[in-house]
Amino acid sequence: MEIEVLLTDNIARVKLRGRLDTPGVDQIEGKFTNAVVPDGRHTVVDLRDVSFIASIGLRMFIGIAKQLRRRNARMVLFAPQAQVNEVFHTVLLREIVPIVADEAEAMRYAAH
Amino acid sequence: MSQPEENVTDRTTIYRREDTVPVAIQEEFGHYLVVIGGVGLGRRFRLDSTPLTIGRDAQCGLVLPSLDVSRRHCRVELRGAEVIATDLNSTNGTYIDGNRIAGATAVPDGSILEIGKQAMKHERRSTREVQEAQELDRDLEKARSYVLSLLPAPISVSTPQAEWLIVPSARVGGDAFGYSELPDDKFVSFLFDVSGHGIGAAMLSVSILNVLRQRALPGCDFASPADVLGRLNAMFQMDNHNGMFFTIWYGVYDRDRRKLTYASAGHHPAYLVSRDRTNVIALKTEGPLIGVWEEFSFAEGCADVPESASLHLFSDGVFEVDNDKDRQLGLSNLLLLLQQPGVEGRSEPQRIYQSVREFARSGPLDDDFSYLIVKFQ
Repeated sequence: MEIEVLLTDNIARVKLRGRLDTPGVDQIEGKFTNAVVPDGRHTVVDLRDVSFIASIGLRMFIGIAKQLRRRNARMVLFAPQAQVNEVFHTVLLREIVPIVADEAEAMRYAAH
Repeated sequence: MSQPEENVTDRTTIYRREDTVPVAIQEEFGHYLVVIGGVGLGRRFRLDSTPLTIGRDAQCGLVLPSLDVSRRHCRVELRGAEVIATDLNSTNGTYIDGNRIAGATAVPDGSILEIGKQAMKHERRSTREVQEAQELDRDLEKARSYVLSLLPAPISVSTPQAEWLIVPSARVGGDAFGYSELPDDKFVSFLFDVSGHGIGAAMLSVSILNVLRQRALPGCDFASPADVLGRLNAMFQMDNHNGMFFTIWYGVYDRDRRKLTYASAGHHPAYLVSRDRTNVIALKTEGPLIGVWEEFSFAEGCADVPESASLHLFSDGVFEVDNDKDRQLGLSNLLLLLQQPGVEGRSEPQRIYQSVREFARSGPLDDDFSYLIVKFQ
């Protein structure tokens, strides 16, 4: 699992690549959390190259989203692959973390 | 120690420890093949300069009783600091990280050696690390055994009947299920899946299972799936349970009315399958993961139960399974398996497991395989 973080103004653009299974989440969760939570940055997450998500991956997103919310910041996910989106749909993740189609929409959502 | 000094005015005796120079502890390292798929899951074979012959023949150091393994299939040995595998002209080949080998080939640390359906990982570990890993394996096994001991026995005499199969993954997971009679001639069945793996998930799984088995939700109507899920959600908020949440499917069958009332939270559907397997109905309601929202009003669904239909409940570990081309089985392919005829002498959960196992890449499944079937009269 790979992670890239680009910090601009008060928005963090995070790109994830690989599988969000147990080893994948172990590799990136600390970096992800430390990059966005302490400063309370609005965060948009690019999921185009995430091929799989297990419950541990959902837990990571929910945990970070809740921590950001306590700092009046929000997280938006965009462009999940079909299989990943199916999981999001089953667990109603959109009720906790917005999920949109593309980066432009994610940036608009995060900025409001 | 030096000689004690004696104080003539009292009887205090003082011992002084002589200065010692700490000795650097040399850790002993070894090379191991750890079984991650096939026969003897979790077993460790320590390698040394004596070659380990692997094959079907009883004379081999590691016997694999499988028809896709040659009588003397390959040889593995330690040469200096390298582990070397040599294929012995086997029919189906010996593979390292998916590549068929020819001649003597190094097996790097972390690589996977495959012989038929047997998969073994080369690990270079210190003795201390191996002991710690074995201790953890024993603890995980105890946790797994405890969860299994809480599951109800299959029902084969009265109706509804219930049969099930649970195959834990290499890392103990948080799957569990149950079923029992309720007052007013009703029958409840449920299956849930705690996020993550390991002892933590298993511990939460036990808590949830005991609450449902003992009906320890104050004021709850256990014949109302929506009420049960709402109260579970209030009791098991993730902020109070180390960030863990779970999915669940819960259903209550009314024998008199032949109706199944159900509710699900973050869980894929359960399926009502007709006796001739031609009709498969998905049963699911919209609801978030249990423990994530502080309050949520769960909805219920209701379905008529045809004569001799069966209810299939299973965890996502059953269909989120990849083959060696990294293609996932998926729910739609699993439903095709559901509709295939049964196999004489094999239970339906076992038949499904066998088909999933044949699809999957070698090695243990990534997640628990939990499958429950309730058969109605």
